[in-house]
Amino acid sequence: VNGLLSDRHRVWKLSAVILLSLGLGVRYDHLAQTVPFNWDRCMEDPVAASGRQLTMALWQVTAIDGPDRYEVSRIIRDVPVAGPTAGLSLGQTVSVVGTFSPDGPVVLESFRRAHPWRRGKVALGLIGVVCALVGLPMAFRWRSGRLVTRWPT
Amino acid sequence: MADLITHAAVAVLAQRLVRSPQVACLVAGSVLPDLLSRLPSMFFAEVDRRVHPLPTLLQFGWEPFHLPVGMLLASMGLALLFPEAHRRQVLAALLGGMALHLGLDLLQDHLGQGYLLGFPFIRGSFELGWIGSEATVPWAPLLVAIAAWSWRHPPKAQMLVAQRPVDSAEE
Repeated sequence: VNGLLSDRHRVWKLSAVILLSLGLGVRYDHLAQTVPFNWDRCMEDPVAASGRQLTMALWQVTAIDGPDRYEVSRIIRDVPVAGPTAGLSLGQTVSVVGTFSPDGPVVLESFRRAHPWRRGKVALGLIGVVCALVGLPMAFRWRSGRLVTRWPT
Repeated sequence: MADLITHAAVAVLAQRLVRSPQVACLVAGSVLPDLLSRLPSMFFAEVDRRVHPLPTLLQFGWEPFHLPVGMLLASMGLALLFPEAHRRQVLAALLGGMALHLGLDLLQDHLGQGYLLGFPFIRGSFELGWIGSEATVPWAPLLVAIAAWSWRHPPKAQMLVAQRPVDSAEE
């Protein structure tokens, strides 16, 4: 660790960290496109995907199409779900587990969880971002080519 | 993920136990995983949705900073920006803060869609699922109040350390 943290070849070490981070990002992007079995993958071959379980955690309700059908969106938009809509509202965040049905096609809801505190969490998150953007420059400063802690010591 | 306020408050409280000489780095470490991953990811997702389609790399490529291997890299990179004399302390504090962050997030339940802790070597995801994903929200104000009190009333030994000008060695 001492060698890694020394000033010797510091620029090369920083460059290596940036390159490795970029490589990880590319790898994760590839993984995100291929690993999770999602609605788009089901739609590529609906018959073969019949009965596959889909989990959609923290998705937003974007349409309510009657008493037993609604749509949710997150990375994929307007995924139709068959399930009771009583108590649902547009913009609400829900987590849904269901199975893919090629008839429709639609996700047949088997479990749903509402997230009534989601907006509070988003609000706290925004306050946190503002505090961080104000607080971090207060806590650190750039001096003689190095980052130093200025508050609290 | 828990919200940033909760993460920072937990880090302030943890400081009371670990007594890191780099308090700012510990607290920064506790919020950086979200700032480095979620924030740019959400920004580019919004641009992609509302303005112009973007490469998926801009949405997903930040996620490793919320996973152990990315946290290690980010901590190492940031520590290298500090004066050599403080780097070990800074690295330890940043890693400690990030570990706290991940530990708190792992408590949450996302219906089995947990965190890829072994990325890029192992594909399986993990979460403890002990609390709901918003369970910390109602407790956040109380947690912030306790953290603020703790910040204003540090242990005596910590006050003595705080009076020492850490940066003076570099001046």
